[in-house]
Amino acid sequence: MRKLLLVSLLAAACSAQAANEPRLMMRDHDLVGSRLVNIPVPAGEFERKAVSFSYALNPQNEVRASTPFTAESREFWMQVDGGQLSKGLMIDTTAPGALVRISPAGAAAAIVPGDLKLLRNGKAIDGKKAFSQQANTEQLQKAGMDVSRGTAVVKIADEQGKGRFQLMLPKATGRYLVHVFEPNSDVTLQAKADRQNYLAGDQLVVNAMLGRNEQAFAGTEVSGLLVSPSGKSYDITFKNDKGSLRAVSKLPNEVTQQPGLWEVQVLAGASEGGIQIQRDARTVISIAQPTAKLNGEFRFNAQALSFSMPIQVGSPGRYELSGTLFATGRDGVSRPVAQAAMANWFKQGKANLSLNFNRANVPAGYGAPYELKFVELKDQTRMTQLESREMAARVGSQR
Amino acid sequence: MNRAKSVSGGINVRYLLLAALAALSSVCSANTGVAFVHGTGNQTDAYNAYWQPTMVNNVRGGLVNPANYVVINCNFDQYMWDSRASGCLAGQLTNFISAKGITRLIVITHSNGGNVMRWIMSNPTYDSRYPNIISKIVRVNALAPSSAGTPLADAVISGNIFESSLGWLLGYKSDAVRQQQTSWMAQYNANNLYGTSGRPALPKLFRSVVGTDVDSAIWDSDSYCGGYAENVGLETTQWWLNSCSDGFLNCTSQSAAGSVWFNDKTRMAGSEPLSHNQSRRACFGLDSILRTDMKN
Repeated sequence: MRKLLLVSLLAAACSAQAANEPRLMMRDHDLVGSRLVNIPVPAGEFERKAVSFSYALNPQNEVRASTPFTAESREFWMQVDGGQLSKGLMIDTTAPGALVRISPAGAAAAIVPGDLKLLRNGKAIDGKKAFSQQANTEQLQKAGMDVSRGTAVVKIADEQGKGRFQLMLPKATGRYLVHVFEPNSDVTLQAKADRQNYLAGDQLVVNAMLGRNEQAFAGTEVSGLLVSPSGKSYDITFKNDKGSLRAVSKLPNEVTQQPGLWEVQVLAGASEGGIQIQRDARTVISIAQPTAKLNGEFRFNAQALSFSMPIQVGSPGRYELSGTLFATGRDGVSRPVAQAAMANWFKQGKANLSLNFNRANVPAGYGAPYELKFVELKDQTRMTQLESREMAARVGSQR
Repeated sequence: MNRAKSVSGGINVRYLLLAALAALSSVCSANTGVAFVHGTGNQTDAYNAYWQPTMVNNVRGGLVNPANYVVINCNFDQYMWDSRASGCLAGQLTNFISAKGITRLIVITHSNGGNVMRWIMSNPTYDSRYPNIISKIVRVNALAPSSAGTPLADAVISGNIFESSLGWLLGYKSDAVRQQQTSWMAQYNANNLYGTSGRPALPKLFRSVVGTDVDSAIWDSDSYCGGYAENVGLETTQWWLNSCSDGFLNCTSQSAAGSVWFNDKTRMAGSEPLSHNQSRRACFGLDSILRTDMKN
């Protein structure tokens, strides 16, 4: 608590010092923190020297803001016990040719694909007619699919069509994970977070839609989970507005020592013509503890084409500032001409990082006014993005 | 008027010839080396186990000094930024450059090795050894790079994620497999790596060789180059991939970063495709193409 107070006071003091330096511009979707935390340095080997780098970009190659990933799923997962499988597990499909993968857990015996039986309306379908493809663990692993021990995959023959089947493994005991993948289905679950990078405590918005050919199913039931790199999960609650699924959640403050991304998992189901439709989708986001932030000011050295920025450091670590320089061509159009980055190790307190673009990187015919775009502050020790500004500054007089 | 044109043309030709000679002379006076960077896995003998001697020796034979080569052995089961992955790679490249006095470095990567190399080129400030390595690189020939991940990684990780949140696990998947899920690579490409569409270009040329198909006919001897691709398993795993793939990676993933050098069938002997295993082996003349490339 004391540490947090000290860090907050430091942040406030730095803000109060605002001199007459110009300030960085800010847009709606920029990632900008307002607080700092003091957390320990994670385990690992980290560079301690200051490193600066810049290089020329081809102005004809567009550099633009990236958009969050849209997950699209034609698959779902079920956990079942041996009793369900030995009696016949109900599987509803929305298209011919579904692939069913079964993985035993713990001490459950390995699956022999030939032992699996397919039934329709309680009647067994002849093995050769039931499955058009079968593969065991060794065959799948040799083909590059690193499945777990004892896993088998069968493909329901196209001729069997779609609808309700029963999958039976007469000698099943223990627990199994069943994965149904429908590559030929036009039923998908789409899920997308509103941003790629968040700070702990931010608001996460996830939009999802279960439907056929972009037409949402009515009465979709949906649940969601946010899973941290350490495996801890948090519920996400969705609201259904005429098939448009939306979740708004406050992100947890969990400080994870595990590297990696956070998973957003969406599990949705609907009913259509007596068939249960299920889909599970996953996407990822980065959640950063606010270990440092830009002070918000910058100093531009026109001769050196350099931008210097004060930063406020809440936690010891290695921090990187990067950005893209846009220059104006003879046609008056602003285009990307150089990329620069600088990183250094800092203790808690005030620090400074610079982007030195080097005039030699600016091609003939390009000059002021310049734009500094896609400015990012990263925590290299914790592999997180702390700040990003799409259009950070516009400098230099008109030619 | 005609004469003026002719004089001007003569000057241009002379200038171009001089420029070409200067470029040639700089290549000749340079000390070129090649590094072989393996894909996912913890390698201790990549020369024999991953690339195999025929591939390495045929390719390095194209160098002015064929002794200027290094076969990297690192732990690429880790995330690309891990000290055991890119840190190890940076150490071995730095030692090679220093020991051999390399001034021009050609890097040949396979599969996930392309991502580890791209990490170094995209994050020059992460490690003080990176800028020197980047300054020596003339190009990266990325054989079947997993630049946008693979749906097969999604498929094997999904189960684990699903279960881990419910408290039981089927088996640990490495961080490298986790990293190569399509959604994860999309996030890393958009935030931590350069060279994909809309992102700043990499500081040096990164060009890919794309495997577009798999020949797994049991009666066709071509299927056996680099080890027979398991047909039964491939027929099944293909359902997770697009029609254009090398059996492990979609063509879209292999061509997501940098530029495409060539698609397999356009350059391989007999227009053969390169499966994911074959694109690291001396199959259908791939080694000869890479050998010729050592001269430039």
